[in-house]
Amino acid sequence: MVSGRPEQSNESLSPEGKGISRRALLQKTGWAVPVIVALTIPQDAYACVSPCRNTLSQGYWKNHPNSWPVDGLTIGGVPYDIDQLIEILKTPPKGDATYILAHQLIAAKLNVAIGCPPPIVNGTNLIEKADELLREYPLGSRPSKNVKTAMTTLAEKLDDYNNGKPYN
Amino acid sequence: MGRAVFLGCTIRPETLAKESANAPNSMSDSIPDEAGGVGPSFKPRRRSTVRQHELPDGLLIFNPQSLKAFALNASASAVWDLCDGNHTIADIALELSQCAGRTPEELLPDVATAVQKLLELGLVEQDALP
Repeated sequence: MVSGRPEQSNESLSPEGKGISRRALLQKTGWAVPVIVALTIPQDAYACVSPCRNTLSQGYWKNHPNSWPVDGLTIGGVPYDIDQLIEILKTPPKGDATYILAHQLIAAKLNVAIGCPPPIVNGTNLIEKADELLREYPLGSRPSKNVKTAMTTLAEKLDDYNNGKPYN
Repeated sequence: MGRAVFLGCTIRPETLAKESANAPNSMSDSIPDEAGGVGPSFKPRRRSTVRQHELPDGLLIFNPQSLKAFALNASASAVWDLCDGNHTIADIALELSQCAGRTPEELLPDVATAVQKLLELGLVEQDALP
């Protein structure tokens, strides 16, 4: 799991004014024991928030390292820092599907890190699927035809997700 | 709790009502009283990736990384608001005591338990040490 840099602002969070009004509400209602309840959200509810209009392409992330919300990411089970990830993004795949997939996976993880809902298709998180493939076939391993096809197909879906297009 | 629109989705009132009916009656029911919880000097900070939606009497919180959503009542929402990395748990209790008609000492256990729960759920993190 990645976590954002502490100093990063989140536009979806309430401005301080909302917090003040909530405290004013508290003044009226009085203090009650705080309750935090887990909600069950139907799987199809996520479909209505996708594609996320705020996702950014791998090209954007490659050229804007200062905008990254995290200090590093784990790709295929291997942790990388920003410099290493930028290097990966700048590496031309030259037909190696592991790089094609890694490029889109990095962008997708960064998009989730900025608050976009993850790409879910039929209950499968495409990010987790990509990570599994890259764990089995590490970066630069040039997998053979069947795996290559699976990776490029998945990369295309992630590319659509990263570009705010329908991906299922 | 009224009809809620959350992340562009309309959540059916009956869904929320069902969840509310299943909700524990108090924080002590919903949070295990574990030793080694957060102390008064702990500074919680909301995770920057967590999203929230206002409700008339609280908040809906969505963690896009775990795909989990949570409803917070007014008191838990007020605690959440102050999880900004600047306030310690003691500060939060002190600040909320000024509008809740209770002493900071009375609120401190509730605040600590709420923050502990938020921490366990991955919604807040400890502020980076200087």
